[in-house]
Amino acid sequence: MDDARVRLALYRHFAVTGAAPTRAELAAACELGEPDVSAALERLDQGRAVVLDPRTRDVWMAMPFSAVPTDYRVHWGHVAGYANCAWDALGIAAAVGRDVTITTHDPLTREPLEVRVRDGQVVPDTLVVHFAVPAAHWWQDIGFT
Amino acid sequence: MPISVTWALARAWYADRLSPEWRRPSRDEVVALFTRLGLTGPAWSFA
Repeated sequence: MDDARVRLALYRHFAVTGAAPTRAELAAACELGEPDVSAALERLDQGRAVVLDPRTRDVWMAMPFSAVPTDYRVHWGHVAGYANCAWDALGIAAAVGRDVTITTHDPLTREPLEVRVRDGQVVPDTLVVHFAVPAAHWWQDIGFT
Repeated sequence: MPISVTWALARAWYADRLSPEWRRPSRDEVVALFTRLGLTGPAWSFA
């Protein structure tokens, strides 16, 4: 029960602010103690519902959101955040149900790229997304994936 | 992968992520989704 509440509060915070909440913010939102929040986050990490930083145990990813800067900056409404990859950048549009603007770059040429989702359509629609890791291996090194 | 397919995958994968009822899909559900989107072959196989 705590896990579902913490997960939902975490995601809602990302959707509203673009950033990860602190443990104290999660504890307040869920009316739990910080140790209970930490324990719930560990279980969510074990269940691959979120990814915690291996060293600090802070939230690293709540897919599609990233708690740390990446090459995929996403704006929706007045909010800006980071996605973990190109798929996740579009995933933010799906998760928040909003138009988004994605700022990134071509991984080969480093040319800046802007991709928009407007009224359910991706613009431009001529781009190709490269998946570097086969699906069966996505969780072997999720940071690389 | 064409970005239109990535967008379809993103919608199927993430549209319910802010729902209280969200749960991780089973491997069979993931395979069925990949198949529905035409994502087949070794890169999309868990075998």
